[in-house]
Amino acid sequence: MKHKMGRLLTPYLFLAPNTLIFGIFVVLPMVYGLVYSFYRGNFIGGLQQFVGIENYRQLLEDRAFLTSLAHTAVYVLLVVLLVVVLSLMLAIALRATTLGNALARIGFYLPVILSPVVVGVAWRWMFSSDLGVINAVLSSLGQSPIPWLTDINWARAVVILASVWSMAGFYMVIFIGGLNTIPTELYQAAEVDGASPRQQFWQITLPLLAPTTLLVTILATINAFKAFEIILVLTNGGPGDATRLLVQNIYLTAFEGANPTYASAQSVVLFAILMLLTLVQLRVSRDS
Amino acid sequence: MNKTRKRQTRFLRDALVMGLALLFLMPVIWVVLSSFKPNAELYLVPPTLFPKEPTLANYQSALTVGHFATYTWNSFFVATMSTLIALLTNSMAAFALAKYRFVGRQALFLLTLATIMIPLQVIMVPIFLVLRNLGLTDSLWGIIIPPAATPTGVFLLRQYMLSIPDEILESARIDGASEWGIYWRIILPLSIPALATLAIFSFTWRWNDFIWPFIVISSEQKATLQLALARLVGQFGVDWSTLLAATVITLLPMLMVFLLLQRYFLSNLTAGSVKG
Repeated sequence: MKHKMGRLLTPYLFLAPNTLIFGIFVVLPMVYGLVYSFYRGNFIGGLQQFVGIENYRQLLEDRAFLTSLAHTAVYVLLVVLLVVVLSLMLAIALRATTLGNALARIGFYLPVILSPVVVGVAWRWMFSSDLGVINAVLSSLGQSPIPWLTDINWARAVVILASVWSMAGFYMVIFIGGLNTIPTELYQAAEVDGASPRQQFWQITLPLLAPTTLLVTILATINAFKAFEIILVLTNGGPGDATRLLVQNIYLTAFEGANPTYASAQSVVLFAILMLLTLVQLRVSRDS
Repeated sequence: MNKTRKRQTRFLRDALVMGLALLFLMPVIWVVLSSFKPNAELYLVPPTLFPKEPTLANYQSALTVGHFATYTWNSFFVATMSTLIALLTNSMAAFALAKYRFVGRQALFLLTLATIMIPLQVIMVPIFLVLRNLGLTDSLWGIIIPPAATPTGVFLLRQYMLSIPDEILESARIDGASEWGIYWRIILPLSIPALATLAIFSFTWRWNDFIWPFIVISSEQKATLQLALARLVGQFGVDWSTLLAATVITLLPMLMVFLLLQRYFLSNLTAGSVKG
């Protein structure tokens, strides 16, 4: 009898350490964050006053927040679009298991294992306006240098490209996995029927790859919303606030502006956006 | 005739994709090449591709920046300890989820899956306050413990453990093995491939972590390599020659891990799919 009771408890004991860490460092902060967002307070005095939805109301008129939100929306849209297309192209091109493809896959994946700080340094070193190799090559070709990181639009472009570059190989691997689940007989049959490679892509590859594409899109979207570190090193959100995204704005509000409760409200908004987008993407896939 | 033609096009194709991959890697290659150039050559127009007079001077100055040995040790310590904790706690949780029937199992499993989607960035502010209340700010343990409960790791290990036949566990029980003994002597040794995968990923994540130390660590002595590197960039007037060498030193361990164990990274492991 005693033995049986012990057996009943066993799984919970095995779960305990992980759950404890998880509870304290993920679940608890999430609850805290939500609670903080309804208060006014600071790091020293703690929560000082319940203000209801005042923080959220204030967000609607906060230019810095709204700007960073708009920047994030454009950034996410472009990064997701580019990274999905690029990684799918890479996966299709490197699908066959030849030696050359295997080595090329290693090459395209390599940026994924670099830390975001290293990625930021590498891109800044290439695109630095006065010291970067791109401008050095341009000027030795007789072209005038381009202010890559100091012009608003160029800086945005470089930030987006660096982000795409750092993750494309990762999604490529997922896409290759998806491609491998498509039966080769389908392509053989299509070939017999005289379908061109392009037709095969649109009629076979793309429809059968839809679940993988959805997964990649969701992962890429979440990842893009999290963007912070590469940009911090590359442009530090500048020039001005041209590349300041939501996460950096939250960081600045909380730690530089010493306003953790107001920053918490921004975090809640970010979380809500992420959940909503994931749900929408899942729903869209179910309907189609 | 046709066959040699085919072989030629295949060779050309292989050369083309490898060439493109090399071009793709230019930002990294350029950092490595530049790190061996003397200061004067670093800013030459037109630039040299390979260093004309290769030098290790940049590495010497990188190693004397602040407490470089301390940063390196901190990074190793954090990545190793966090990985060990993750291996232990994740495998225990995975064992419970894979091999026991109990109330709330399904709910817990779904919760684990859902939380893969919660990025740290969302809880950045409150987690700082939690850590501060626990006295874990400006402590290496503050960046070791919190990320150890990776949901990705639990998921990966659980999927693997499901494939271990229950009969083995039952016969061990009949032979009088304790539940812990079953976990420690049967499940863990049989799960080594999955554990190795998690270890590699976890070490990579923790080595590359930036936001955790950025929020938690304030003193020089506790900084990790990533943090030190970012601080070098943040300084007014970047000292590129030193920074480039420091960057290469920071990426080198990961590069070696990756090149030695690339099949772990390149196998389609959607479970390890979220950088966590």
